[in-house]
Amino acid sequence: MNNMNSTSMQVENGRNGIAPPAKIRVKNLNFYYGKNRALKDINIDFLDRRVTTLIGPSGCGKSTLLRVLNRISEYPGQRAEGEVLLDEDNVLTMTKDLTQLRARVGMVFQKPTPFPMSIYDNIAFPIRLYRRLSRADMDAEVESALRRAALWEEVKDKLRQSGLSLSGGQQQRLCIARAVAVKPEVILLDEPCSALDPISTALIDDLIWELRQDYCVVIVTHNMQQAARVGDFTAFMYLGDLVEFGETETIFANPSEKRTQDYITGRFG
Amino acid sequence: MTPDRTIMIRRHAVERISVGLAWLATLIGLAVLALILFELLRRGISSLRLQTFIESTPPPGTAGGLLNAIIGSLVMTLAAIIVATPVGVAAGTWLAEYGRTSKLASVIRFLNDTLLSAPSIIIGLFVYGIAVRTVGHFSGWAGSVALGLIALPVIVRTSEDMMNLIPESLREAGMAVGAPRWRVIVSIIYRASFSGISTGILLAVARISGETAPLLFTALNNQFLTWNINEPTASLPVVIFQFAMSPYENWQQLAWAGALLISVTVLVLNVLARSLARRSER
Repeated sequence: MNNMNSTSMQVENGRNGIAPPAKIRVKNLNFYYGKNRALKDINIDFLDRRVTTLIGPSGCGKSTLLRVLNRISEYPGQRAEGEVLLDEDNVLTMTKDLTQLRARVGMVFQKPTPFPMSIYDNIAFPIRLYRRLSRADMDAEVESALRRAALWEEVKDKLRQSGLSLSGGQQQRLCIARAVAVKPEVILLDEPCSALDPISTALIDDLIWELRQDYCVVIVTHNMQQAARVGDFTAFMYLGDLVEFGETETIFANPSEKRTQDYITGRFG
Repeated sequence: MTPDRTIMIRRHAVERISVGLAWLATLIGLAVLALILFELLRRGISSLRLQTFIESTPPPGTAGGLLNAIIGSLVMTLAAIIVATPVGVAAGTWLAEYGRTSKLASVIRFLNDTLLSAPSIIIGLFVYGIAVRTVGHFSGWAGSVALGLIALPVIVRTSEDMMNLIPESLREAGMAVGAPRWRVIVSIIYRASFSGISTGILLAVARISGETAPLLFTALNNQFLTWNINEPTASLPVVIFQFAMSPYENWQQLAWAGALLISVTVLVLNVLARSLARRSER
């Protein structure tokens, strides 16, 4: 058995020919909650304009890895070692303005989290944090974000209604539109479809495939079909280890690790 | 598996007895409340007339109303809430959003709970010491200070509780679009908990609108209508206290009218608070 844990796993190509550069490089990342080591010597590159899915059983560290990338959760007693390079900047050592980091690395959560305001303001709120726009420009930005999330046609006549009035699937697309509106470089999705029905899930899968044209996308999922459908690359994690990482087709059709195969075929996890 | 018959019989018997006792307890509680409300309505309505709202408290034996007491109560309650609300919401915000599980937060939470359950007469005496003795006379604003001190812990507590009900994921979602902490609180958390916090404020108003003891030591009473809360100021609870204990028939009737007014106000505030709270659940 080849030990792939501690060496950087480089992948040459995505689904479409020549590989773009890495947007985020994770180097020798160790992460601790108190004494509990949640991530062990993780080395992985997330390529620009490609979708990387993180799979693995609950508690394997995939969400932890995702949440390190924009430092969204800061628990007391947590500690990270190693490097997470977003282009040239080390995310782990950024001290003061984490809002800048989050403007570059957007996130969509497991449960839809529309803000308690109108559909329009859900999109306009994050834009206003960064830019002063005229009314017309703001309208255009909101429309473009909603279009990108394939939501515009459904909500264009009720932009003043509360974001909470939408269905679960629409709410999640609203959250994706909100993330896109900030014009980030990376979009992280943490089990974005676990609370949604299959039709909404399929819509979001298509959407992720669209986002791939402009963003580095990292998605955590428990849904193997989703991983197979949307991922250029798939990383299988288990108990804090990155067990296997490669092109999605290889991982699913011909995994080199038995644990990966067992998980994908549903024998454990 | 077929259950053992004796176990089932016993279980049903225990269930019936428990449900019966629960019903009995409910009935006793409701009966007392109904009796109070009934007596209050019977006596209060017959004493209510237009005069009650347009004339001030009379000397014994002559006709009059409760205008000075109504205005005094309104002004003092309003002043108390205007000061207690920003302080209380700010403290609740700090506890829910910043202090959280820190040592300082638990100390403050403990002190706030102590203040919440402090007898109101103690608060009245305290304010007497700092705001009446020092200036040499009773005043409406001293009454407001006392009422504010009673409302404050209620508002702190409910604001914190309501903000704690907001799921952590909403805060994270706010931060994930790059909003700074304060912005997340002001634009997202306050909006999401608006009806909850308003409910707490309404309940605080309901709580202080019936307080008597702290006003006896601070605002005292005033037979005449005054808008100047630097003077001693009348209030409904204190007037009720004084008039109900008096031997004069017309005073006693006004006390009933005042008691009805306060009860209706508190009832309306509670209904409002409930409907607000229900709105926030949706």
